Amino acid sequence: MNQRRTNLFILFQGLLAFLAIATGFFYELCLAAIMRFYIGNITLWMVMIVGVYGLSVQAGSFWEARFAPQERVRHLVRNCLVLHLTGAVSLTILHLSYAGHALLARYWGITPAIIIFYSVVFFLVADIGSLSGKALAFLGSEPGVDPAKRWEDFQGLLLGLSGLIGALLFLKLSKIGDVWWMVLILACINIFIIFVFILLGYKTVRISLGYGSLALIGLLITAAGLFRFQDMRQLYLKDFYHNILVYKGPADFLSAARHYPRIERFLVGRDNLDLVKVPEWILEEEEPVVRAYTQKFTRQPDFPRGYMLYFNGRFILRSDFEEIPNEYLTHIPVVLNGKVPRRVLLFDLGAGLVTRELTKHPGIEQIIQVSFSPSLTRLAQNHPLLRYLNGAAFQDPRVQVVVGDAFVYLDQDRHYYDAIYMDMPVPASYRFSRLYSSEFFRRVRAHLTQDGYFAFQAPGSGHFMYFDDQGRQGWSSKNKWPVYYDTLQDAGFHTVIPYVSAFEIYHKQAAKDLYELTESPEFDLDANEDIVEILAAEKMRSMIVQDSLRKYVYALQEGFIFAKAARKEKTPGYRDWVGDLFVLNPQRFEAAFQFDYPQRAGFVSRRINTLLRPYLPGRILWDL
Amino acid sequence: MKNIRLVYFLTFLLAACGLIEALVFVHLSAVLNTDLLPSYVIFFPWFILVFEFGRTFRIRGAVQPDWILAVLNAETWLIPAALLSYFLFYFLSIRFFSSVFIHLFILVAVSGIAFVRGYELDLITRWEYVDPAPVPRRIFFYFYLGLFSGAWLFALFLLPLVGLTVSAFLSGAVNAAGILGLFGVRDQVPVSRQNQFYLYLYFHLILSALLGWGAIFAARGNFILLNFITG
Repeated sequence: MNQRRTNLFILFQGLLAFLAIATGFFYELCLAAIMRFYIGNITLWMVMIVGVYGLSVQAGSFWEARFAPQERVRHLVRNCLVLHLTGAVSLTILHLSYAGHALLARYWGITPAIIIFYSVVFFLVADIGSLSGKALAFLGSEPGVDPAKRWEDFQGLLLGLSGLIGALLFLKLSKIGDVWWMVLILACINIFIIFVFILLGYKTVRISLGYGSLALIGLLITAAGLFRFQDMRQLYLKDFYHNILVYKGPADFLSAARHYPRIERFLVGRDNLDLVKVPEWILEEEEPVVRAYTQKFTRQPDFPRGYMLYFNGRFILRSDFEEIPNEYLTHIPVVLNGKVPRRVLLFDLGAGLVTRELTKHPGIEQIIQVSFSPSLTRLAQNHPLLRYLNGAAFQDPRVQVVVGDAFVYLDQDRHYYDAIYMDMPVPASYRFSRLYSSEFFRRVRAHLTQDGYFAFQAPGSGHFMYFDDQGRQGWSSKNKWPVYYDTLQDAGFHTVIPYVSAFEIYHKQAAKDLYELTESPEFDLDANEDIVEILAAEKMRSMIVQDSLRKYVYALQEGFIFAKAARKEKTPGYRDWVGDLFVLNPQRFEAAFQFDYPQRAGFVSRRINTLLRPYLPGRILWDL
Repeated sequence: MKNIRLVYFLTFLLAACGLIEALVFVHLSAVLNTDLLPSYVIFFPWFILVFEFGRTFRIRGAVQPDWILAVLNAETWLIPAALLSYFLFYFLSIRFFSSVFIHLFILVAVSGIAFVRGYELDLITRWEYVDPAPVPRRIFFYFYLGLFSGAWLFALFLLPLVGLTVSAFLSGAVNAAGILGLFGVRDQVPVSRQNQFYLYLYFHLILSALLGWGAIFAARGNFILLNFITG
């Protein structure tokens, strides 16, 4: 009976170690997933984290193998406990260090801040890896097992097997909840198992009851975290979206961001969609400029204000000025092509805002919208706010929604279209970079009719230097236009016309309203009797107003590209085909083409973005 | 080959190259199949699992140095051949409206690379340690150091700056260089079938020329296999 109990206990120990390795890999994957949220580019983080993980597992295993087998049992309990406690708090540490990096970047500059942040990230990865490695050293060399039957040489197989289980578990759970939840639930279950192990085996292997107390505390903390999970997640999300992205000052980092509106999070497959409400005081500050550049709020006073949509932490739209990119993307190509297309294919994330603009054209007979995600499409059709934003465009009988990947859709579709539109997120990862590749553009070209065109929002192509004193903007080396141009040329598009949502930097009404907003004691003209001071204060206020307007206009500046396979000689003048636009007018149409984009007869081969050689995203580690 | 540093270096090299080769296929699979996450999440543990299977496949067997040539030969040909056949499977997938073919192919390709690398590591270590005792742990440290270097090299340099085609060809060229290196120390290598070795060498000289051509062509950015086939 005793022998049987001992064998069972040895099996339990092995199981504990095996679980620790599987969960260790799971934690690493969660770290990679959260880095996608903070920085972007899951590929980069997956590969780099996995590399560090493998090395640290081996280092941990190497270190632990020095100890005698009897000692390793006690070490196993300790290491597993520390592993799961580290795993449970890893995302919190990572969040705090990300917030800290934003703060440091302000005072020390971006490079030291990033170096410190990345050091914390890889320290966490290495720590979890080495603790997993220590558990690995235990496997195959359990005390009490006949040395001839030990299987130390097969530890690598066990590492692979346990990692595979951790990976499959990650894929399964990532469709149910987000990373914070996944980490907490796994840590809680594992700490509970360790607690049971300590209770059962503290006499047999002389485990200190101190570890039992630690396990109990850990269990209570993780259980409390799960119980108050929603509040905890809100804290992180508010801190990320309000304090870090809209940085206000060091004091805001320390506040719990409780005074900000609640953030709605939707799980879209394995992606996250966050609906962020801008605080009222920011909306009040922006009121004059927002109203100045669009007629939307004059014509539709009830239109929801201050809602922002983020996809995996990357900005998608803001309800206050979503019509600007959508009108530029949809209507300017129609003007450039000189006629309204009949059959339109649209690749969209699924929100349906471009569809709304397309349905304004009565001449369009059919719109096929290929949505990226089924969950997002359902959300866009059912969520009250998104329904308001897309104007229930999906109910238009001309609209047909297909859920699928754009690349695969073009491979399988055999139809031709008069126009193909694409409105996809910024290619901050290879997942979206493929939709800006030569291979994809070739497929698009193959599906266009003879006079058909392709129009898409080209992130980074509208990036120019900030306004100089004369209000002019110079070429920026960060502009991605050469990549788009070379790639489109390679794909066989002979007409490539870039344009930008460029607005007037002086707007009379906006300037007047902003001028009134700048009233404060330091600029109080009545309090000063000295004419010099009065003039100086007046000049300061004018400069502040001018700068505010320029910053707003600069922030709205986005790049778009119109492309055709056929050569197009001349650009026609502006014509309003719809008569119901909020932003576009003849002056702004002219201003959209005011920038000088370099164009060459041939193309520089090294700038072609292909699947086999992705040129987008560019500098991936330093562009935080 | 009684130089332990050489064993460590070769272990490091085969791990780094093996991982890069596997990552080339994983990335292709990922970008052609909508969601990058599953491919990248599963590949590493699967790679380790199959690698270890390859390494322990003949763990109690005798050392046969000829096998090293055979394995290196297989590796050299494996990558370019697999890369080309990948596109064949891709089009099979499109034709039959199913991604099963492509997933199956990627699984086989990554498994093949991992198995061959594992087998090769076993051969290298046993060449030095002829007796079947467990290999020293330090070799695994160098192996994982190689994996780490390969992963970071791929993520930060090869994928964004060099591209997948050149990476695959470079990796193949390293294997070809390994064969040439063995030819340089042929007096110390107990290969029984000398004639076959010269035959291998002949093939690899031609292959190296082909690889060099491929690398130069790919570096110009024109060597877009998918475009050649679809165009």
